[in-house]
Amino acid sequence: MESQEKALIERVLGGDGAAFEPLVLPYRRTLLALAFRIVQDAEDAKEIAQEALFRAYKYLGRCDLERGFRNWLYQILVNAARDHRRKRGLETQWRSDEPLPDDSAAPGAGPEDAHQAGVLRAQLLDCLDAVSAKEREVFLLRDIEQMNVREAADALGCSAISVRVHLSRARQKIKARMIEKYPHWLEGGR
Amino acid sequence: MRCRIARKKLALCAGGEIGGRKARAVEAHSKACPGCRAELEIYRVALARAKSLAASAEPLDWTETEWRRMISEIMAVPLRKPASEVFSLKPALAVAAAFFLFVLGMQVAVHSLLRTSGISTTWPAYSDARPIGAGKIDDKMASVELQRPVASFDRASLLAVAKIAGLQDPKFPVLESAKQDVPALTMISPETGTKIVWFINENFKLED
Repeated sequence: MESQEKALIERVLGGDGAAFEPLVLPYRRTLLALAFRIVQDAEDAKEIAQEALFRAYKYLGRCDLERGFRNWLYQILVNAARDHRRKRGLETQWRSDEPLPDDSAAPGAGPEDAHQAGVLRAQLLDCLDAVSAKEREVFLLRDIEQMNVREAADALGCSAISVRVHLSRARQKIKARMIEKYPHWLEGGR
Repeated sequence: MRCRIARKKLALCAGGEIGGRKARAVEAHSKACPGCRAELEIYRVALARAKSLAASAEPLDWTETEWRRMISEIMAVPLRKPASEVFSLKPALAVAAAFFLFVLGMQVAVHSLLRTSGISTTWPAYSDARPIGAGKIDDKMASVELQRPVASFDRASLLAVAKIAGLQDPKFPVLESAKQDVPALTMISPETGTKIVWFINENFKLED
């Protein structure tokens, strides 16, 4: 853990609540992005990320300084997402009635870059839709958030072996989805 | 290494999760096998593509107003005590609870053993019961007994108990010596000395 984070945590625990914002600010977007990729809904993602920040502040005293604030925060987020999914009683899957944006179509309004980014995001979500909830969490933490296996296992509350198994399955399924729906992405590798 | 085994490891090999001897074996096989080599390359490209997609995808974010409001709401939440303070009492509580449960369990076990072996214990038993309301009723009207029923009823035992309970003392039955094991109801008239004893049989019907 960075010494700056440690100092901020100590300040918050010492009663200086204002130190919490600089502590979580570097994770503001990554938290939201991770939540979004897990639940695939922008509003739900905001709700989950907010809940994670609430819990992080409330239980900051329980943060294991040796494990690192980032891993701890991600673990809270994953748990909040699981709670949310359980509460809603839904397995996050891409709803078939919502068509994927077509990357060949010109945008009707707004900057083209933003539209293209939205298309890419939807396509990535479509690939993630091929895997189970647990496999998605592992894939996102390891391959997208660049955690190592041990950190991902810590954040998910499982063993490193479990992470490897789920990661392997996730990659196989995502690769198969890419071959099936987006073969042009893999042209460089063929 | 065979293709079947190598292909199981390709997904992890592409991301660098397999190292050392296993990784070298997979790499060596892939060099010699065009199919596995192509498969490994696809994994690598797919992985790189997923990462680049994630990086280039439009980032979600809160508006500044939302963020400020959320942070101020979070500040209003009281902080919990650090784990070291809250959980420091846990081991002591756990030991105390374990000791209590152990003592309780031992008591139950001892009593169960004594009861199954036929030795009387200090558990409350009907045979030790005193006549219900005897102190108040005996002088005027009657004494009433309610005692533990025996496990099996037969006519002979009922008659034997009736004899002990009703006839040994003309005025009141000596309850301690009677040790009656059948539910019974005795009424004695102080004026005439008449005794009426009802025994309750296994069907909860009165027999006089």
